[in-house]
Amino acid sequence: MKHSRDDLEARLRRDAATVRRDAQPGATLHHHIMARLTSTAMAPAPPRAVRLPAQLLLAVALVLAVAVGVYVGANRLTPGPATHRPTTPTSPVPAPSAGALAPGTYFLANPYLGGNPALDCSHGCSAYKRIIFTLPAGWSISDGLVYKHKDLPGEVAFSAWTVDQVYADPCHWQGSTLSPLDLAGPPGPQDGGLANQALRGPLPRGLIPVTLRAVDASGLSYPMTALRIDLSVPATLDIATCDKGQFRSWTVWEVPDGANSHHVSGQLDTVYQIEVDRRPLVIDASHRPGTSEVDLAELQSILASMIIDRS
Amino acid sequence: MSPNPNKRFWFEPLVFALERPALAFAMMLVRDRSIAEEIVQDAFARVWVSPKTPPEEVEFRRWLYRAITNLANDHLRRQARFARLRSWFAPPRNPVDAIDKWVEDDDLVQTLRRLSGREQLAVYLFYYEDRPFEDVDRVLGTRPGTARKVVSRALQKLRTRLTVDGVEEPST
Repeated sequence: MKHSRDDLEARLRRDAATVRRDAQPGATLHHHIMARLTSTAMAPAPPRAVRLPAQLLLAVALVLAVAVGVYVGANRLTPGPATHRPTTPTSPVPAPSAGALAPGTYFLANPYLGGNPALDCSHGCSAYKRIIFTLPAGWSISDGLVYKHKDLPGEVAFSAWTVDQVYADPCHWQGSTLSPLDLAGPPGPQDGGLANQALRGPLPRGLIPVTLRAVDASGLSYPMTALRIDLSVPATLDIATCDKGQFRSWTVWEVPDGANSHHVSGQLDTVYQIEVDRRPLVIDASHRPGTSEVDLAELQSILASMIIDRS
Repeated sequence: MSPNPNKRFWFEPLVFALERPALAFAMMLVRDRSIAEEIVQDAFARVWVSPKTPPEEVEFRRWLYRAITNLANDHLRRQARFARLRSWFAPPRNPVDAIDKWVEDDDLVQTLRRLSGREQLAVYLFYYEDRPFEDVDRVLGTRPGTARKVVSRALQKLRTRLTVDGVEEPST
C-alpha cells in the first residue's frame, strides 16, 4: 500500500518541524564559522586528497584499529576536542584602559554607566551595558581604541561610540552643518548622515542591514539589526590642511568638543550603526590600505564574536 | 590561494543570513547536531577559499548548499564504510539517544537520502523552508516551472519507496 500525497506531505512537514526545532543555531555557531574562515584564510591550501582503493583503505583502517585498541588498552585514552574547533569564549574580563591585551574574551563597559560625572547618562546615552568580544594575540587598547599596529601603515582597529551628530564636511568641520545618524534604513535619508558625508567615498553610499548578537537580562542571545556603511578617507587628502589638522566624522554625546578624529589619508572604515534605546551605538572598524590580510581576517573574526550586552 | 578578505566584506553578512538555514539543511541530511555544525563550518570554509564564489545571495546559497550536500554525502559514505568495522569501533550506547531517535521518522530520513542532490535541495527548500516554487527555481538555478517538476518527481520517488508501515519497497 502506498502513501497518499497528503500523508507524505504531512510526514515531510512534521519532519521539517523537528529539523527546525533541532537546528536552532546556538550563540557560538557564528563565532565558530568565522573562526574557521580566519584559520582557513591563513592556512595554505591543503593538498588534494588521493583516492585510494577501497581494499587498501579497509586494510589501513584495520591496522589503525588494532593500533588504537592497543593504545587505548595501555593508556585509557580520553578523546579530546577536534583540533580545528575553536575554544568557547571564557567569562569576559573588563578591558583595561590601556596596554597590550592577551588573547581572550573582554568587554568594553558603557562609559556612561561608570559613575564618571563627565560622562553623565542622565540626559540620554546608548542603552547597553557592555560590548563583549574575543581577541586573538597581538592586540592592544588605548582610550577605548582596540588596535594592532597603531599609527603604522598596517593599522587595524575598532572602537565604540555614542554619536551625537554627523559632520557634513569632516575636513572643514568647524563651519560644517550637522545632522543625525542615518538610522532610517536603506536607502537612507535624502540628506545628511554618513550616507551623504563629504569626502567619504563615492555616492550613492549604501546602508547594509546586518545582524549582530545581543543578550538581554535573561542571558539569552538574540539577533539585533544594525546598519553597516563603508567609508573611506581620500588617499590624496592632506589632513593637516583640515580644521585643527583633524578629520572628524561625528561629535560625541556630552563631551565638550568631543569627536572621533583618529583618521589618516586612505583609511577605510566599516561603521555599524546600532539602534539601541535612547541614543544609537556606533562601532567603527577601521583599517588602512597597508593592513595585512591576516590582520583584516582577525578584525572580521573579532566583529563576528561581538555580543552587545543589554542586560 | 587564500581569498583576499579586503574584497570580501560581503561575506560575513551572508554568513549571518544563511547560517541558520544551512544548519537546518545539514540537519535534514545527517540528523546529528554536532556533525551538522561541522559540515556547515566546512561548507562556509569551502566557499570562502574558492576565488569564484559569487557574492550575490541566491548564487552564494546555491554554492553553499552544494558544498553541504557533498560534505553530507561524504560523511554518510564514510559512516557506511566504517559501519563494517562495528566490532572495532562500536561506541557505548547512550539511552537518551534512543529517546531522541524515537521521535524521528527514520524511514523518511533514509528515503530522503536516496534522492539526488537536486531533489533533496528542492524538497528541503519547499517543505523545510516553506519557499515558493519561484524561489526554489532561483536557488536551483533552473528555468521557472522546473522546481515544481523536481519536487513532484521527488515525491513520487519517496512515495514509491515508502509504505504506510514504514517498510521500504524495492525501488523501481
